[in-house]
Amino acid sequence: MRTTLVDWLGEVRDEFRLHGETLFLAAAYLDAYLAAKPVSRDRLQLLGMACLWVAAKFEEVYPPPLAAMLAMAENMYSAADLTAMEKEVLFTLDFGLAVPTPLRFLHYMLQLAALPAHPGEALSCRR
Amino acid sequence: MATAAAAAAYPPPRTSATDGLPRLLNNKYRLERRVGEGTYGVVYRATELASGQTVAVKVRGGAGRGGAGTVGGEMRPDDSEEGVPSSALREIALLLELRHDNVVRLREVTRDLSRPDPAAAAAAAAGGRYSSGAGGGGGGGGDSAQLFLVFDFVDMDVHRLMQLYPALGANAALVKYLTYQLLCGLDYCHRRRVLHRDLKPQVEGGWGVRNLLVDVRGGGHSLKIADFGLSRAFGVPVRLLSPEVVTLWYRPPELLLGGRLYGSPVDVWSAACCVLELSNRWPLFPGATEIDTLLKIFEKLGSPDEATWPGLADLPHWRPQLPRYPGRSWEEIAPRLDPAGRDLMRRMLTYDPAQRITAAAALRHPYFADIGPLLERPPQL
Repeated sequence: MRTTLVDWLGEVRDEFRLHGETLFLAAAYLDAYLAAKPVSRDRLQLLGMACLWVAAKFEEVYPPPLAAMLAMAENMYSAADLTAMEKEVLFTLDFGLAVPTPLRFLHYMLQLAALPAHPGEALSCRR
Repeated sequence: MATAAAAAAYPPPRTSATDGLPRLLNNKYRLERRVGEGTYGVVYRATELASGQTVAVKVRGGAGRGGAGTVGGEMRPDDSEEGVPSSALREIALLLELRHDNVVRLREVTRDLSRPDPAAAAAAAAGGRYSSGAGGGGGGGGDSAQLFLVFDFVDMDVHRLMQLYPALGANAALVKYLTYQLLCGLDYCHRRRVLHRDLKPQVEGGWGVRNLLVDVRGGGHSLKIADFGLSRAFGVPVRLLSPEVVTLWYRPPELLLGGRLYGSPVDVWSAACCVLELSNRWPLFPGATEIDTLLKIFEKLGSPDEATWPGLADLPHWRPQLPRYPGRSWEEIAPRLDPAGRDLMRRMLTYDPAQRITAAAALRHPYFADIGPLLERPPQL
């Protein structure tokens, strides 16, 4: 289930051309939330969307607007669903959004290995 | 239905002093009066009932906010229909990571638990299956669209201090002491990979933008960096960021020239502008527009070229036909600072961000050779 969800978040990330870091942050928020609270199957996708939206707001210069996010899930959820879930995620994580991701470490290691600049961009997609 | 019931159950106790916000927040804080408006959000003075301590409560998002913030003249959407504003989310997430004597302390973030979240209420009214509440994963039932940030209350700021004590700039020991603390706080933020991006002592629109607070309790002048509404985390390597940050007068040349790959040097430039404003009692580069600010910088510091600033020609807004100025002497730019102070300012106002002194290196500058005694016995006005 998690794999399917994160794969889908990767597709959303591609669609909006978000940075790799944003997807990694979203996955980190998703895991932190699921470690703290259970979520029903029909709300899992909503949770994933909220995590990606929060990550985009934290990381991106231009986060995707609400309507565009809802369209990605074929409007299965309402605007109120997403904004309520967003706050639910923020308070469950205690606003702990500034977390290091595996991608950050990859950047450092590639730098130490003296490989070309910004190689992470090539590696930062889903696979 | 749910909304109507909620409205009947909670007639909002409106008062002019708190703009229709409840006087009592979660039975924990009593809001007293509006004391200022930050880049985003209105700030109230309040009392924590249990301890009797005075705190500052900053309201972010939702209907009760004080209008959209302006950044260098551009309006920024701070729209609750887009959920929690990214500026609020960053300010909270980053401030919670920061614990330092020279950074304002965020004690708590909370919602108004007495009011239902309008979004959740609407979803419930529409029979939405996915609204929180009903035992699901709801964060304790009702909440509000607004977020309340509770800070330690500090009742003085650099700007007011300058207004109250016109001779402040002539007090070399106090200027040095405040400068040192500003750089300590900044160095700490940068070590934690947080850019502030909006350091300034100035006031916008008549309300104190309380960015550089000064705690005068106990007879000291303890400086605290505040208002992280424009701050963000930066990685290494830094990548494309928004150029529309930092209030115009304190905006460094790499941003004015449209650069998007910037980092901690932007804060160092702004900090130097603050220090010289404190010392001179007049803003250093009070430009009306971006180009006006840039020309004021050139006129004082001399126009840059590829020799002093490698990579200058690659910046989007750079034009070789911009006027060329020889610049003024540092005795003229910083008349009240001693030679060491002028040298530090020169290094903090270096055009090339790569050559600009870092906050960490600035703390080791000879200007602060005699800071030890000042830290032990803080200078007085």
